[in-house]
Amino acid sequence: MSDIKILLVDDREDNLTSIEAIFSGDDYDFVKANSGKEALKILLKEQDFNLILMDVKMPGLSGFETASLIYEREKLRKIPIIFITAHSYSDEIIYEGYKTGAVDYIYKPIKPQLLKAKVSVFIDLYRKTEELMRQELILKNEIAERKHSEEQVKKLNEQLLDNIHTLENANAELARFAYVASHDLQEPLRKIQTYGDLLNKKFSPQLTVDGQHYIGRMQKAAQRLQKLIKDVLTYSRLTDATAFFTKADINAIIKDILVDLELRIEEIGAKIYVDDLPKLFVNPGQISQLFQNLISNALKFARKDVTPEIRITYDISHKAGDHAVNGQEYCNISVADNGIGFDETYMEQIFTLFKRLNDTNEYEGTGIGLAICKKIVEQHKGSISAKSKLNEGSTFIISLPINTASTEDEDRSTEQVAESINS
Amino acid sequence: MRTDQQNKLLRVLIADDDQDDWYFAALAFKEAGLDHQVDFVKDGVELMAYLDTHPDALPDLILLDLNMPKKDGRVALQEMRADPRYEKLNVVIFSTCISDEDKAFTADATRHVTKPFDFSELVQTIKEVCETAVTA
Repeated sequence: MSDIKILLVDDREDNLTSIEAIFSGDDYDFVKANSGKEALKILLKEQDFNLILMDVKMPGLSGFETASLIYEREKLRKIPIIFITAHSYSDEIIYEGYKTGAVDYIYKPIKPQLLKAKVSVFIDLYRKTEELMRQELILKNEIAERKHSEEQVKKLNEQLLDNIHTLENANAELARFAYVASHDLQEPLRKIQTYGDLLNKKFSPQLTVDGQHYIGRMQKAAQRLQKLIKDVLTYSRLTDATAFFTKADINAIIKDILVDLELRIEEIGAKIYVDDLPKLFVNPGQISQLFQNLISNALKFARKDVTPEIRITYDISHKAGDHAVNGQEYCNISVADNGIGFDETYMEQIFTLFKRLNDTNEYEGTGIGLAICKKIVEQHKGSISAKSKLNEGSTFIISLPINTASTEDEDRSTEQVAESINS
Repeated sequence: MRTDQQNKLLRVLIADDDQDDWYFAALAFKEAGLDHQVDFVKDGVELMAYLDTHPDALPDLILLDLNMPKKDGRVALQEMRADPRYEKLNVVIFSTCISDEDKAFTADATRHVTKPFDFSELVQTIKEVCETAVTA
């Protein structure tokens, strides 16, 4: 079956047959009507015609009259009509035909080639219009789809922002909670310690050796709790996003820490070697805390039978620890000791809050120190890792990004400050 | 002359809502052998009222806790510093835990002292702040 359907309207059966014969070679479907009335009746049931070929001079409804009735119906208005007429009409009549919406005329006697050509122009036009409409529909669908997915993306984005907001709030609340809790915990603890101290000072002679021992144990436990609270406070403060960053002399920071730890270093006879480290864009307070924790750990976990050695060295690479990162340069600083080491099976645990690998009686500690270190390097968009062998030593590697842009900014702002002071 | 100065009796006012801390402080003064006149108020409102009712005997030293009900130490300090009668008073912030924000907010206090966790240390601290107040 053809996709092209043509309505033939003529009051003479022989005319209908001969027109149909002209198109015998083409793949068109013809529906024939022998009056305007019949044509209208057919068009009531079928509206999918691509073209109407209509005789003008017919008894009853003329071709023009039929055409104007056809075009009263919205649905049919897009079907072109070619009028077939014996007369050569005056311009006025032709104008009237065009007014009804007719698109063309063909004169009798019909020249088959001309009729075929005219019909094929309309069919072409129809096909092209059809294709255009099809593409428009596809386009419309695509636009609708795109709009839909854009809305979806927008909605997802909003959800994401919402989630981030909720998370940020929860984080801030948690930090605040930890801060307030630690703060408020110190108050009663201070009372316990002070009363314990008073008890010890004023009533020691009245106590038995056991009693004195109990007070000692109690005071020790209270001190441990004090250290715990202090560390939790430090940890909770680290979430502060407004922390101050500047280009800092890492060697100077380490030197200060070594002065603070001098007593302990001399006591165990530790040897400490520190590389000439580069200046880095960091929060000096946090980095000081970081090295304080790592060096204190190295001293704490020293082996008793060898001279403790701590080596702080560095290299610069495009790797943060063992992970390559695109384009970013890292300063990898190693803090290596020859202490008791640890079983690498527990690698994940050592950086987790409150996790300890050694018992409190032998090695003091709160289990927060390395968690603080981890959080500090994360605040610096860096990372921390460790390598160790039991009874041979541990190496902690901190990788801090080298932010050249920020360092330059820092220099510039310092210059600007200097200039404004001078002027 | 110097001995006279060291023996000078001070008027000390302690503003703290914690009765244990009153007890510790009184004991520490005794332990340190200081005979200064020590008065206590339990919040910022009482502190301001005390100052207003002792115009001719203002304290030589105020130990001011930060966290108190009704009017806390931060607000009390601001009020004192804004009042020409009290702006020169020797006020030492004396609190369990002093954060950087607290320090910034009370920057015009004479000094900041964290309450010691040990009685002997408390005695030392009390001696020290009193000596500074005497020579001031």
